[in-house]
This record gives sequence, C-alpha cells and structure tokens, in this order.
Amino acid sequence: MTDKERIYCELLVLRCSRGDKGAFEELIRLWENKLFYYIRRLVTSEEEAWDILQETWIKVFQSVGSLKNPDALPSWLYSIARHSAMDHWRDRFADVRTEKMDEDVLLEIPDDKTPDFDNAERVHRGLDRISLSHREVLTLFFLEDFSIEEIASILIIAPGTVKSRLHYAKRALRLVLEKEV
Amino acid sequence: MENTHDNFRNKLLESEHFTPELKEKYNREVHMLFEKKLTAPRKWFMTAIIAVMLGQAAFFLYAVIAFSELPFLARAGFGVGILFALSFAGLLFSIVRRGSINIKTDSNMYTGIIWVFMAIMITLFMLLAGNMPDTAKGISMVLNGVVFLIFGVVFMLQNTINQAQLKTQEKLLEIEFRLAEMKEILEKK
Repeated sequence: MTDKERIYCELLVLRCSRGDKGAFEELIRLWENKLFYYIRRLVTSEEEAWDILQETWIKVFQSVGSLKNPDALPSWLYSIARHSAMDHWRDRFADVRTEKMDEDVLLEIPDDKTPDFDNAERVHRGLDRISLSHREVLTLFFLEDFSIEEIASILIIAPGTVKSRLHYAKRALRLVLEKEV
Repeated sequence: MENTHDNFRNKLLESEHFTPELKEKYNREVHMLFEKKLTAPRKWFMTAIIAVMLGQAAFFLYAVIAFSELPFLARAGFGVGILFALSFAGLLFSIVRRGSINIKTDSNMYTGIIWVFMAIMITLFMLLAGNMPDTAKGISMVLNGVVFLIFGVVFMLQNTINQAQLKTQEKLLEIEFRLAEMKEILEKK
C-alpha cells in the first residue's frame, strides 16, 4: 500500500466513524465490485452473494468506528465479507476433503510451465473450476496487493500455509487453463 | 508492473456478470441501510406521540395565558415546553411522512432536541428554586439541579472535544494526503 492509499484509508475510516454518510458511500463505491467478486467466488448463487455483500456493509457500518488500525481497512473489509459468507456457508467451509484431494493430484504436475494468467476472462472461468480454498486465496491474490501476512489474517491461517496454498492454487488454475485449450 | 496488475484486476472484475434485477434490488437495499423503514405499529405509535406533543403544546400555551399570576420564569418554562413539543412533533411528523427513519441524522436530532430541552428546563427550575420563599427547600432544589447540570455540561464538553479532535485529525490527514499526492506527481516527473 502506498503512502497516499494508506492516508486515504485513514481519512475514510475517520470520516465513517464520525458518521459521514458521504464517506460511507465512498467506501461502498471503492470496494463494492471487488468484495462482490470475492464473495461470488465463495458462494454458488448470485442472489446470495448480493445478500452477503449487503450484510457485510451493515457490519462495516456498525463497527468501522472500532477499527484501530486504518491501514488494515482493505483486509478488514475482506475479513468481514468472509465471515458473512461463512455464516451462510459454514458447512462448505468446513469441508476440506476436496482441497486435500486437489493438492494430492497437483503434486504430480511439473512446475516448469509458464503461468498463463494474462487472459482475465479465462482466469475468471478457471477460478470457478478449482477448489474453494484455492479459489479463495487466488481471488485475494488477484484482487488486491495484499502481503502474505494480510491474506493470512483474512483467512485466519499461518503465513506459511498461505504460501503453499497459493502455490498449489496457481498450479491448479494453470492445470484447468491448460485443459481448456 | 503495478499497472499490469491493475489492468488484469479490472479485466477480471469486468468478467463478472450480474443480473440487473438483483443488482438493482441490492442498490435499493444498500441505499436503505441508513433508512430504517417504519412498521405500521411504529407509525401509529409515532402518530400517537405527535398527538400527545401537540396536546402538550396546546396545554402549555393555555397555561402561559391562563396563569398570568405565575412568576415570569415559570411561564418561560411553559414557553420552552411549547417550543420543545412543537419541534419534537415536527421531527416525528417528517419521519412518519417519509415512512422511514434515518439512523444517523434523525437519532442525532432526537438527542439534540431532548438535550437542549433538559438543559433549559433544569436552568429554569434552578432559577425558580432560588426565588422560593422556603430557603431550605430552594437550596436543596438548586443543589439537585446543579448535579444534573454538571453531568449535562461534562457530557456536552466531552462530545465537543471529541468532535474537535476528530476534525483536527481529519484536516491533518487531508494535508498529509495532499502532500503524498504531490510527492507521487514529483516522483513520476
């Protein structure tokens, strides 16, 4: 995050906590599309994604004043979105079997192929065909310039796990994209 | 590099297609986040309060005119009562007419009106108590009033200080933001 972005986040949080309606609308305008994209990757129906996004804004609206570190605003927003989605889909998040299976299969794939992540439309389609945990970590990776630590704080896992999950997720996506061709 | 990532991200976001009806529904609901729709019982309850407030204003007006022998401060208290009742009824009327309550602005106005009314009334009662023929009773009333008034003033001061602090912080951040913007422009050049 650049200095300018950090200060802007701080300013936005301050205005929101003062109850500035304009600031809250600005917050929605800036993150709405990205949060929707992220939530949409976590749930199966579009309608649910919109509902979850709305719940996310309610939670943000209620607790933005308690955000101690405004630098963490983007990761905090994603955390809230994730929690809201988890409330809807607790069972799916608990199911780690598919994730394990994907990783086992992917270990057999050589890692020397160059990634073809330039075509956003293909990546978008490919994301829907990999496991939920891979899809989630890759979506965060693509949407924001998050550090490994920030992604770890959103997913509530260790930074090392983020690294390996990201690695496997990229391979899984690559495999899917290659099969498509 | 950053631009490549931004471009990719934007294209990725553009790849997401949504159903216009669902998006429209979401937009409406988000717009209503600050506006809480009034239920029918709540509307009736508010209408009843408006009626009570108007009745109260009418009674106070009658009291000001009819009880001309009352001290000036007591009649002034009734006058304040009329203003309070009318402004509160006006606020409630606008909410009922709109059919929704704005969580932020309306609540702040409620609090503001009630606080101002309480402060003025306590001050008037204290002034009245000071003029009471029974000095002992008068002093105890004044003391009770002072306690409430101190609480009110402390609350108001605290709120004012907090708001001033936040505003100063906001101005400083705005300056910092402008400097960061300038720095970015200079670095690009």
